[in-house]
Amino acid sequence: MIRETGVLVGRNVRISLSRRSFFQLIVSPLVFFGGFHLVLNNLLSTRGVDFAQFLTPAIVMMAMGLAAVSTGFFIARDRSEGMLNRCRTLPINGLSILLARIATDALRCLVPIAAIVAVGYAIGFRFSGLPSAVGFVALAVAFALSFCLGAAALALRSDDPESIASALFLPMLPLLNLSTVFAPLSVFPDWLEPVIRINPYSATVDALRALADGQPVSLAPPLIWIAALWLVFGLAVSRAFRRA
Amino acid sequence: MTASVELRDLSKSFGETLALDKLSLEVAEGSVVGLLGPNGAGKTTLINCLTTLLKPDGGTARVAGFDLVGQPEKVRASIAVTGQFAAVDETLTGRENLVFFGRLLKLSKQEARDRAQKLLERFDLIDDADKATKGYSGGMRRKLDLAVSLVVERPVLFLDEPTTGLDPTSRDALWASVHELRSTGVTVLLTTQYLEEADQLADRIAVVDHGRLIAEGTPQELKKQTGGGAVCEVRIADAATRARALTVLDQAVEQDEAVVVPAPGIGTLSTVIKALESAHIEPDDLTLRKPTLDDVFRSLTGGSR
Repeated sequence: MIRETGVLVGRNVRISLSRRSFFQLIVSPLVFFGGFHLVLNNLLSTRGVDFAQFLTPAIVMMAMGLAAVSTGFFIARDRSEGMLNRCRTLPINGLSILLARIATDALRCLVPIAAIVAVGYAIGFRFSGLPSAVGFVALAVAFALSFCLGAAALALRSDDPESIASALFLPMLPLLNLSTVFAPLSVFPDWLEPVIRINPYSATVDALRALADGQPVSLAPPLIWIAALWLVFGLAVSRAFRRA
Repeated sequence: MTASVELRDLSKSFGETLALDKLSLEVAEGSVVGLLGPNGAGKTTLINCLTTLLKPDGGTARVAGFDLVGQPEKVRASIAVTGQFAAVDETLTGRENLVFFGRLLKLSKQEARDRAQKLLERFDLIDDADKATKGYSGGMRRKLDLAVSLVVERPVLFLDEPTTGLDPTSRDALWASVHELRSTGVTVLLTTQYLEEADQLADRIAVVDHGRLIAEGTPQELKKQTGGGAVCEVRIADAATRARALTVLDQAVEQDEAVVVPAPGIGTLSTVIKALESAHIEPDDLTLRKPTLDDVFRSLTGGSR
């Protein structure tokens, strides 16, 4: 199974090397980075927030949310092209197909993280040390994969690739806006605070910032969220895979 | 002779729709059986069941001696499938597709490369081997698809509508490939909507409709049922006149704006003309032609379709 997964990852990566993927993985998060830099720099600085340290994890979070879109896209593509069915008639373990997809997505996530952190470093973002960097990347990827699993379940059930993309974008916007990704908790009205706090985006981005700063981290909230999402979406994927 | 594919009362329904209704069929080892039926007859459902993609609701099936439900891994190790939609990766080149599937099927790198080269030569794809399959024509894709099925040789091959949507030249090339495969002793179960295709390729034909087997036999046996290979078609636009023609002609069935009579010989033509003349029916057109799938169906189902 490990061998099969390896061959499948190789093929997935080979497909990912297209120009469109490059744009999606590197260019678009950097464009967002630039855009938010222009808009938010003054605003946050006047409030006494260390801008580079605040914004870099935010852009990473956004890019991680987008990773799920490509998971959905590639699975829908394999389904409509008949590749998925063909693989399922081969004497290979069906799980390796899913494992390969998830492993590829984890690898793909490293690309925008590297690009964003590189730009972050140019404007003053710093990790407090190597363990902090490793923890930061691991948490970001684990977060991304929980949504990739959800996208996989959706893509295995839906027959319409285009609706998958919009179904994935839709919940992302309110989750991003009603979180501490782009604004500190203090700017939200009091009555919204419980919503902001419980949002998985808030829990994860807060932990990412603490990890980068080398401050004491409360990993429990993001890890509970991630574990719960992995469990729910993982079950949904394995069920959907058997039926698809 | 032993059966390579053997199904007993195989059933599958999707909600209210009965896609396979207690279908029983045997495919002898080394033979080519054509599964003939219109769209929605249950052909693809059957292939999906036999290739372990779908779980049947009832009945039993053995493929290459293995139980479909109990030993799906063994079944998968004995079959190759070429589906209705050429299942190759568009981004990869023809060669990369073949090597990828070879590697997935546990060939070493070198073995996979050698095998890819051989198949590209055999299917006349060598000139475009290193181009992305995105740019391949429909015929080239199907050929590559079939080549992918043959990366590792399996005793049983399923072909689901292998030539649907192909131009005649590509179709002939694909037929030649199937003929070649037959000579190597592979058992083939192919589905088709075209009588001509089943006639060309299959040793035996199984006609399915509404998930049921409605006829089975050699192409000759089946054609005999439609009158020795020809039909006489009498086109009459006027419905009332057409209804009269139906009563005066022997074994006649209505088919759209025509009445069709089995024509075992040229004599049928004069019989039909005489009958029409004495009933004072003037047809819009009268032709003697090869039976189509429609004709086979109408004669097998007594014109109920």
